[in-house]
Amino acid sequence: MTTISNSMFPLPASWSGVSDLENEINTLQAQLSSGMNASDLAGMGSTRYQDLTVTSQLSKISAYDTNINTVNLRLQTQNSVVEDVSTITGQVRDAAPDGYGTDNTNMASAPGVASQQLDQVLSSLNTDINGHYLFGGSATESAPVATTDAIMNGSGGLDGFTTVADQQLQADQGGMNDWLQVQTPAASDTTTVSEDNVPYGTKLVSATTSDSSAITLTQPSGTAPQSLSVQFASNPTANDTVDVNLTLADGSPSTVTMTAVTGTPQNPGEYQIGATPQATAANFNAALNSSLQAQASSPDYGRVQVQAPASDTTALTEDGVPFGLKLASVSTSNSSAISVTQPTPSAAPSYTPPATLSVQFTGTPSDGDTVNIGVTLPDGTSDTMTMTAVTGTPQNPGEFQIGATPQETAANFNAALTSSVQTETTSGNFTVASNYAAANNFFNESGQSVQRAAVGVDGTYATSTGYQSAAQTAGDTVQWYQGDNSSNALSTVSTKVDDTTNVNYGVEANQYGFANIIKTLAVQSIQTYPTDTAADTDASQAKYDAVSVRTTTNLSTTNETNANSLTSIGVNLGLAQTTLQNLTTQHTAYSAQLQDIVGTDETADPNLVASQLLQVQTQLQASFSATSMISQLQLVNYLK
Amino acid sequence: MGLSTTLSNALSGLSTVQDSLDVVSRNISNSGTPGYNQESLSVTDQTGTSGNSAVDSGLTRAFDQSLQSYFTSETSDSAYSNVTSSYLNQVQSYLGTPSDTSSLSSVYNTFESSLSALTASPDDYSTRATVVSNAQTLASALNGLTGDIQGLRQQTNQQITSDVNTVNASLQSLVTVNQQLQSLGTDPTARAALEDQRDQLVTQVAGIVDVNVTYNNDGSVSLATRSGVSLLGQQASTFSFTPNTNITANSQVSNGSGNSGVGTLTLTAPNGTSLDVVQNNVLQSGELAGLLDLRDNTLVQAQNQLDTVAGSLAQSFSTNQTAGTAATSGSASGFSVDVSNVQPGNSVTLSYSVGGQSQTVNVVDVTDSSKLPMDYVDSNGNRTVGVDFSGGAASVATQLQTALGGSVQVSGVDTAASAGPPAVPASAVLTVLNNGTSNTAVNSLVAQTTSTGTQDGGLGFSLFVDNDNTAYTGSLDGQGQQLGFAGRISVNADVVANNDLLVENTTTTPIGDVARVNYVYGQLDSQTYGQPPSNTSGLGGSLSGTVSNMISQMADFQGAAAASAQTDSANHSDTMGAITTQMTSENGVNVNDQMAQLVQLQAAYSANAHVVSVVQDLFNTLEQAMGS
Repeated sequence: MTTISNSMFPLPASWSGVSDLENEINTLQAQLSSGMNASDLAGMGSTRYQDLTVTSQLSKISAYDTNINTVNLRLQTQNSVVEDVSTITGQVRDAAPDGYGTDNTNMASAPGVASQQLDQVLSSLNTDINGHYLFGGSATESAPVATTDAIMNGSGGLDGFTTVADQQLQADQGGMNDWLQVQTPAASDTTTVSEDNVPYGTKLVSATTSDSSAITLTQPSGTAPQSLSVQFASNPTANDTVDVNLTLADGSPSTVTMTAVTGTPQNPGEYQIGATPQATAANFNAALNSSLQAQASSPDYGRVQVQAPASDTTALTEDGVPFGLKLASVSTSNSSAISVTQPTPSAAPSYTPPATLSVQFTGTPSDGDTVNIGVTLPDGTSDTMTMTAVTGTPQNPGEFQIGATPQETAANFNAALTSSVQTETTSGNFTVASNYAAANNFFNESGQSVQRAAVGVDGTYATSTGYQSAAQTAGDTVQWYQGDNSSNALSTVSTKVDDTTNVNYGVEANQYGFANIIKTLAVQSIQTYPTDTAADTDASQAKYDAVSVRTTTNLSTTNETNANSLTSIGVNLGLAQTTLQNLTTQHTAYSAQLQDIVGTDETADPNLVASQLLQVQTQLQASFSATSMISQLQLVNYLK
Repeated sequence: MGLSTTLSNALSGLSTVQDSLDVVSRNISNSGTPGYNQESLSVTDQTGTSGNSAVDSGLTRAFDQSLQSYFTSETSDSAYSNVTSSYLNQVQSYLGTPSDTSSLSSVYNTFESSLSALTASPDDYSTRATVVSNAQTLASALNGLTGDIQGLRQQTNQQITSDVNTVNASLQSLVTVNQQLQSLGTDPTARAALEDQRDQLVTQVAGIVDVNVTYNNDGSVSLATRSGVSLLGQQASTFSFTPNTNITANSQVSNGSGNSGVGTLTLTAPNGTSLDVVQNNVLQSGELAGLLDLRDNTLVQAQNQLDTVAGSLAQSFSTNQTAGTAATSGSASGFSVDVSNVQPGNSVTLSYSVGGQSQTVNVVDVTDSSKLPMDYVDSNGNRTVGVDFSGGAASVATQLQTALGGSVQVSGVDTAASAGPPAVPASAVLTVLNNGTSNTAVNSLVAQTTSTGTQDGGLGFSLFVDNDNTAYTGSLDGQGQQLGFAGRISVNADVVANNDLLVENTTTTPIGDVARVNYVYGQLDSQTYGQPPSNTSGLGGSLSGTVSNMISQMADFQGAAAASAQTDSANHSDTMGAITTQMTSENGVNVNDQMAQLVQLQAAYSANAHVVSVVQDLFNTLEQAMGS
């Protein structure tokens, strides 16, 4: 850096060589102390670009490695949860055939054990790592499943599984015998009678009145469900009548006559004239209601009706609602005397047209002849009701006496079948089937909202005709799973762990494997097994068997081939872990190579630097002594 | 011949020895004075009436004109390379080494790593906060580098101001020295001193401005630049400089009316005519030329590289890619894409092949008609065609058809929005089909539009924004949005306020969703950019590739530039050393010589004095003889 020097005694060129050497020593010293080849870009020379790109590549790999560590931790946690749930599933499956235990201890403890196991499964599905939930697909910010208590017993005004299952059972059992609803809104002078939206039960035909000036009638019209209304424009006079014409469930016509009276009604069908038309309407309402009760049609246990369309024929017809028994088949051991008509099974979701089957006695059956009616229970399992012809008085359920004529036999059969259907719907098997149906609706895998029985016209679930709307359910029912919903759960969470590799490890708590064990445990935990009496014990054991059979079937290892089974989920997570392991090995090797390059590029070899330093030192020393010697060789020094 | 002759000879000897001693003593005393050239006294014997005597015949100043010229020219070149090296050294030190955590490449790598971590944990607040904070660090690193580079440009202006003062003063002094040398009466000793002064002043001027020196017979000099513009004759020309005291990236040398953006440097001749030094390329070397080159080219290019990096960074995040849908017409097939969202600076990328030879064309929206027609191949090797999109798809089609020729068929259909029903949004569909033969094929048609907000439909979003939180589209209109963008880039205030926006591409996106993060990370990792061949491309160092590549290329380029400037400067320094050594040995004071001369002169003096003493003795003897 020679500049124009204006100082005295400018540095001779020979001296600048010495100072260059000194600079070199400084550089070498800096290299030795910092361990780096160069302190700036210019000094890095030809390896600069390589060093820059390799450094950026290294930083990328290190970022990927951080991701791999993060993902690995998640995978390990997920794996251990899947293993835990698998273990529980195995325990539950293996416990099912164990029987009731000594003094029914197994049976007695079963609901409690199931409840605990359910709690264990649900809380393990809420596992999180630093607030990152692992079982909700891409919805990682909040717990994917509700708490066990909320799920089973409801929370914050929302109903839980216990309530939903109970209502489902009521809806499945049916058993209501009246299908007309009478309503008078408060302070109104009008009473309305409405049909329910089912094809059976009592139906409205028309109404007439003797006093059309005081009483205005609106006749039923249009499509089902129909309604008619009775309006008291003014108070009627005593003995004014209103006739309501009906068709009963068995198809026979009937008329209910309502008579206005001034005093307290003495007879059925009378109503008191009130102070105002509104008061009269209220009285009319109450009286009509009890009159209609008297017109009871046969109850629809299990949501099927036993009817007699002809004197020698008994028909069994579904209600056309998504609840209760569904007809599958009918057969007989004596087709010469008994002619059966097979049902055309109705199908989900509407179950319309309703299936119907009929049994016609064309002759007289012999003792021991059987009619087998195959039904499908609410959870899709099958059952058979066997009706056996006997000559004497039936001793056992399911027997019917052979009458003198086919008509008589048919009547006996009708009565016996009605009773059998009722028995069927109150059996433990039916209850458990209904619970499973409720569980299938409640713990659904589709991500749809819970399907829950809607309340019927009379405020009970026995008259329920279908499921609530999704919006309504959202407002009154606990949603057990609140995570992400994707048909391909695995791909919902994907992390880039290499330039070309994304590892997928999404798991959703409503995948088949999890939902399946949760359903089973939920159903098990709501069962009660009373053993107070011998009959109770028998019923409880039957129920326990029904649960065990379903547990064995539902948790069968053959289900593990399902793409969303615990085994499949475990395999996918294992594959992801293997991918990560391979990548880690690759990255370690690759970054070691890159580090090597950076090391060679950036790091100063201390041996090399030290030997260079020695060399320069020798050179400098030589220069110093030479310079010193030369400076002595001045004539000035020798002139005295 | 007599005693008196002997005496007079001895006296003349004493006198010349005395004069020589004067010279020798002056030489010795000035042996350390810079610019002092060794003097020597010529002595001749003169045959006079009274015999031969030693007489001073003149003072000679050691001077080698060709060596001096070489020195002068090397002074200019050395000053040029020194100043270049010192500035470039600063630029590279601002960029930092890869192992330096505050270097641009490290800051970028850290940012990219945090984004990579976000692909694993988009739901983690602190991971998102880290990304935002690293993005801010990156933006402020770019801002800081812009400030540094513009600071250097500002510094060049200050140095130019001081150089202009120095060179003007030196030229004025030279005028005076010239006048004194020209006046004949000057004492020879004073003349040598004047010449020393003259050479010093010339060297001073040469350090700042490259000069050719003409030595006149009378010792005076005339100066002209190497380009032939006279600086000094009888009178001196004057440099004057009006600097822009607030230099920003947008301060550019405009080619039209002077260099008003950065400052005006003029050279005014004694007759009053003035000349713009920069526009006329008057200077080729010297510190001033180096400073101007740094201010107007080298540092501008460094800024341009920074701006390109900043622009590409912003676009990696904000660009939404819309792939075209397949379209056919008769036997012709190709793609259609809606271009209604294309903003100035956005582009539509068309890839087609003719005879199996595939080519990629970036069709860029340029609404500034002064920039059209625009058709160049960028540093990435892609052809770039400027088209005005403001007239709708039909107008785009016409312009593009003209640019691309007949191997493809371009058409456009514009549909106005209609409230309906059914409601139809406005659209501008551009369709590119092959010419219906198998010889040509349209491979893809992709619209690249800038997301103007954070949740406007696409996965891309404006993480990095321009002033006032406005989106960066890379518009080429006017000065171009890219110019100085590195100084204005900042992190979107909405994202700073709510870092959920790093993940949520719609208001209902779950926070665990990785779609957006994966998209922007992928774009940052794979999207390549190129620079247009600009007026600074003659310097090389045009960037291409991904953002990471560009940052490496920039650091490499600046490092290499600094290294080569250092080497260049060291070479000039060596040359200067060699010349100086030679000049010292030829023109400088050799103390040993002088001492030897001193011994000789001492002896001569005593000899002469002895002669006088002997003559005196002889006279005494003669007087005694006469008197006795």
